[in-house]
This record gives sequence, structure tokens and C-alpha cells, in this order.
Amino acid sequence: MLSTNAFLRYIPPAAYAVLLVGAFGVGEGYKIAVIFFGIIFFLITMIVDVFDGIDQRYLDMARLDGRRWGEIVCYVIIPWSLPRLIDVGRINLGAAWTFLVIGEMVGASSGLGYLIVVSQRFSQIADIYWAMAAFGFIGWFLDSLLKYLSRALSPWFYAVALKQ
Amino acid sequence: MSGASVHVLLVDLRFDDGPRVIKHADFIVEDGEILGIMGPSGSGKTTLLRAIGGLEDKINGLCRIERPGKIGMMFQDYDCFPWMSVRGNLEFSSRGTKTDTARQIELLSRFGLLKWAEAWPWQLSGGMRKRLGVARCIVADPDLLLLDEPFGSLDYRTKLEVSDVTVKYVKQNRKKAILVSHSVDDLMMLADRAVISQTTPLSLEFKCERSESSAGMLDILERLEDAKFRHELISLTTKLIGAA
Repeated sequence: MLSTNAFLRYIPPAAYAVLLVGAFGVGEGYKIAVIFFGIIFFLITMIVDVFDGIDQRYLDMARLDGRRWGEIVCYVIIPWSLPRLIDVGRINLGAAWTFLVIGEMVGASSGLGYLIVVSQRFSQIADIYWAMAAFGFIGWFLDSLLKYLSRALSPWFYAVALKQ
Repeated sequence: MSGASVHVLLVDLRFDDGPRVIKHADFIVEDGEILGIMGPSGSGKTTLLRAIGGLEDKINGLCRIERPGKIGMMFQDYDCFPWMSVRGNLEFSSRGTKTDTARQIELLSRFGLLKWAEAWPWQLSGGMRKRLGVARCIVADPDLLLLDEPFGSLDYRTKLEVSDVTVKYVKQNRKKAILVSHSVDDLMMLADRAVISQTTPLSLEFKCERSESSAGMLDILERLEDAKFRHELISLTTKLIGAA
């Protein structure tokens, strides 16, 4: 399953953008599809890595505590993985912005990606800078939000895991 | 389950088709007894404990544990779940048998953690965290405690304090414990009896002999086959006996 994932991960959505237009038409569906196919295979790999890396000792402790599989998932696997999954989200959010620009290159009539494409075509340098600044600001805001969320939900991670 | 001794018999254990990790281990742990198992690093001590605790799913060979009862285990460097509060840890490890808040409070108070019941484990000192580890381990009232180098990273004073509560639990409640360590120090502080492993590459044999005193333990060590290991242990033990 993972080798299929590796195969698909290396095909950039820009290579099959025309096929996506054929499947989803030009519009929101197409943009979402480009972003989805752009990051989903990376997401799968990184999420599998997180769960693969779970500290076996905590699972052992829970097993010896006589906990059932469902309880181990809820009380051990999810709390252990959560801050790491949020980190995966932060990294892939950055990649998603790149695919948004690609998505808005075709068929869009508004949006930051569209603005950049049009500004490039007509050499409107100032607009390119504005769009870049907007990307940076929105990215920074979302990243900070996720970081805050991670610290609020998993304070232990920053106190313990990062020191080890 | 108190009142019955635990008989451990492990023969020819290996992971899948890999090399043998334990050749032969055969011993009995009596009521109220802490059995110490000592051997050099890589001799299979932790695997032995994990096999007894039923944590090794991929192990093949004869693995028979008679009357183990409820098992509790303390891992090296892992005392509690860091994402649960002090009380949360005790609740989780109570095994849901009964939500015995009174027992949790009694344990927290006995281990000097009552004031810290709602704190996170990482807000505690090393010694307090280890005490929480012991409390977590015994909250469900296990019959057999498996201790995997549990006090390795503690300073001497804390080690004394934590081993004291562990010994009391085993002795007063007539429970059983198996302690695994490469430290003569830990063994002499806690164990009633010593089992020494003599290792050849990737195989292991346990000889079970009773040591009634520190001097008795020296006798056992004298008979070890591995010269380097024997020399190290004897010099350490002599030093400890001299200091006592």
C-alpha cells in the first residue's frame, strides 16, 4: 500500500491538471482536487510515520494496566500522537498554499493565486508583492494558530518530549 | 492470589526464527519475596521480564508462568503517562475494576503526592515522579511486580526512599516481585534472593541460588563463569559490604 503511495506521491498534480479539469470542471471542485492530490500522499506517509514511531513502552504500560484496545487508542495513542499530527498539519498547510496557486492558474476569476498569475502576465510587480505578503501573513497566522492549539492541547509534549 | 508461589519456566525463547534470546530460566518466587535477577547488558533480562508479563507477542519457545495473578510492571525510565495528571495516572491504572477513589487518595497521601494530585507529572521532581510510578504500579493491587531496573537513574537517597515503599508493599501484603538489574547495589538493597545470569552470545542460562546475606551473595558471584563480569561484580559487592 505504501509503495503505491510512494509512486503516486512523486506525480505532481500540475502534470495531470488537465485530467482534473476534465473530471471536476473549472471551478472550486478543481481547486480542491489539486490541493487534495497535492498533499494527500505526503500526509499519508507522514501520518503513518507518526503512528509507527509511537513509544512501545506506553502501549506496554497500558496493556499491563489491563486496558482494552479501544481505551489504548483513546487514552494513549491519540494523546501521544496529537502534537505530532498537528506538526504534520503545519508542514502540509504550507504545501497546500503552493497547490492553491497552481489550482487558481486555470479557470479562476478571483483569489490570491489568480491575482499572482494575472499580475505576472501583465507585469504588475506591486500586486505580486501584495499577494506574496498576503500569503505570508495568512500562512503565519494559521501556523501560529496551530502552534497555539498544540501547546494548549498537549502541554506535556513541550515540557517532556522535546527535552529528551 | 496471595498465598501461592509463582513458578517461571522459560526454555529456548527466540523471536520468530531469530537467534535464541533465552536458553533456560527456571525459578520460583515465593510469597512476600523479591527475587533479584542480575546479568550483564544484553543478556536478556528485560526480555525475560517482558515474557513473564506477556508483552512479547512474537516470541517462540516454552513460556510457562504458573499462578502469576495480576501483574504490575515498572519500566526503566518510564514511570507514568506524561499527558495524564497525577490522579489521572492512578485512575487509568486502576484497571477500571472499581473506581476506588479512597484507595487512590490513600496511596497519594502515603506517597506524599496528595498536594500534587492535579499536577502534571512533568511538574514533579524525579523522586516524586518515581513514587508516582510505584503508586501507579500498585494501585490495582497486583500479585506479581516486575521491576525492570526501576531505580537506575535516581540519586541514592531517593532510591532508598522509593525502594522502601516497594519492599513494604511486597512484604506487608505478601506479594511477589522480580527485580532485574545489572547493579549489585539495587539487588542488595531490595532482593531477598539472587539469580545470576551467565551469558554466552545471545543465549542465557539462569542459575537459581539463595543468598541469605551479602557474604552469601559473594559466594554465588565467585562461581560465575564469565571472568570479566565476575571480577566487576565481586569488586563492587566487596566495596558495598565494606561500606555497610
